[in-house]
Amino acid sequence: MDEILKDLANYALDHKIGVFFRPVSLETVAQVNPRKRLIFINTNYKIKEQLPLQLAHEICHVMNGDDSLNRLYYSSSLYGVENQANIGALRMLAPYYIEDKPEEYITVDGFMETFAIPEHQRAIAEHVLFNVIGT
Amino acid sequence: MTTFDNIKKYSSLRKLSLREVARKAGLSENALYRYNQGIEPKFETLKAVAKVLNVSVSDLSQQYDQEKADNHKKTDVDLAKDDEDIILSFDGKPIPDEDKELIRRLLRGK
Repeated sequence: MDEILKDLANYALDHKIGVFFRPVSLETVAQVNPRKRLIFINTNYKIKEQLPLQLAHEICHVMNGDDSLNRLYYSSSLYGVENQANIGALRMLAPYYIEDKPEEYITVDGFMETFAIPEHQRAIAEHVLFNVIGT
Repeated sequence: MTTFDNIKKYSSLRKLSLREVARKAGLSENALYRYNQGIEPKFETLKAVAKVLNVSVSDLSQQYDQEKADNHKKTDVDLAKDDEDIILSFDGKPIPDEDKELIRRLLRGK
């Protein structure tokens, strides 16, 4: 898990995005300031498996330019900025889950469990996994 | 924003040149520059470009943009006044009070 975080942090740096890793309260989730291209990751978060997902998600917010209230306001739920960041994040993580696994061991449940993907993202996880395997 | 402006914006956010985007989308190197001359890309072209930039077609298409802008004109004016940096929270979860100040300070980059 640490290796994936390191990879993602390097990816962020390559794209001129700064990441702060700090231990704070158990409940504090990742935060992002897309305009300044800065991300905060709580290394003490209660679910460690979810940290790569949180980082990937915030990277996507920066890359998508989610820095204006207009953009946030106009987004419908389907193409909303959150949804887009969710899709982008899972696309970044899927290859790590699949890696060298034989196809019969690849499941949506497994993917979701590995990165503690919230249940409300199940449909996206299914879609992304199917697409990544398909290519 | 025209379709060309949108393509330019997302390309620069991803640190890609328009030539690189065109190449990755399977177009000729100068294809995207034509859209700066009042020509609108075909839907298939737009789809290929959107895929390269990891955005939806509606994020690039001027027509879609305009419809949304018309629908929300009033709010647009109200919101435009706000130039404070926006800080987004993962999954929209609230931040415990004790951590708010530290995080805001770090993310404002000052």
